[in-house]
Amino acid sequence: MTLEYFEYPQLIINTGQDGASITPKVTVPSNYLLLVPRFYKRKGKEDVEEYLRNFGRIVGGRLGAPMHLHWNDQRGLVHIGVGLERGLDLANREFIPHNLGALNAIGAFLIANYYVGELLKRGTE
Amino acid sequence: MAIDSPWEDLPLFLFYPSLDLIFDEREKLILPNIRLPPDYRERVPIFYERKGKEKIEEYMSNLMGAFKDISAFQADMRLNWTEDQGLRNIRVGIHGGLDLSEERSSPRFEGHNLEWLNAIPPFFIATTYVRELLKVK
Repeated sequence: MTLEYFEYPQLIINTGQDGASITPKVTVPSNYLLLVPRFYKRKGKEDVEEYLRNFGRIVGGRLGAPMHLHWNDQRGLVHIGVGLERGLDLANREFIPHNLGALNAIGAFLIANYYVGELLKRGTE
Repeated sequence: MAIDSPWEDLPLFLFYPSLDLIFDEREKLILPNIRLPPDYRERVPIFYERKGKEKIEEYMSNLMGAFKDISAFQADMRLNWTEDQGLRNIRVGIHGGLDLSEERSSPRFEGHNLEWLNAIPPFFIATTYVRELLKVK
C-alpha cells in the first residue's frame, strides 16, 4: 500500500452571519475494498463498536445524540446514525453528513476517524 | 488531500491521527495521538510563509466560537509557536495541553493533564496544523 491512498481527516468549520457550520471530512483509502475483509477478520468491527460504547460512557450526552453503526460485508462501515435521521453515509469513499448539527458532527467525526485508522491498521498489518 | 511520502519507511497507520479512549474501573481518559512528518522542520518555514500560523489561530478561534455552549471546550487555550519547530504547544487551562515531543521515534504531540472532554479541541487544532504542514512540499 502506498501513501497516495492516505487522506488526512479534517473537521471543517465555516463561519457566517447565521453562525458556524461544521463539516466532518473523513475519507476511506482508495483500496478500502481490499482492506475490509482483513479488517473484519481481525475483529475490527468489534473494536470500533467497543470504541463507540466507550465514547458513550465517557462523553455521555454532552456531544449529541446516541450513535449506531451500520455495516456492509463488502464496504465495511457504511453509516453512522446519530439519533433517528442524522448521520454520516459512506459515498464515493467519503463519509457524507446529513442533518448533522455541530455537536453531533464531532461525535460522528471521531467514530469515522477511528474506523479509518483501524481499517488502515488491521487491513495492512 | 493525498499525502506524498513523508513516512515511506514506516507503517502508514501509525500516522493516521486518533483520539484514543481509555475506560475502565480506575480511569476514563481521552488521549490524542497525532504524529508529525519526520521532516516537519523543513516544512515549518514554508508553512509560516504561507500564513499557516494565522490560519491555525483563526481555526482555533472559530472552533471556540462554534462550540461556545460546551463548557469543557471553553478552557483558556493558547498556541505557542517557535521559529524552527512551528507549533510547539497547545496549552489548555493552566496545566494541561499538548506538547510537541521528539524523544521517541518520530515527532508527535503528547497530551498532559488533559481531562477527557477538553482533549477534543486540541486534537482538532493539532490535526489541522499537521494537515497544513502536509500541504507544504
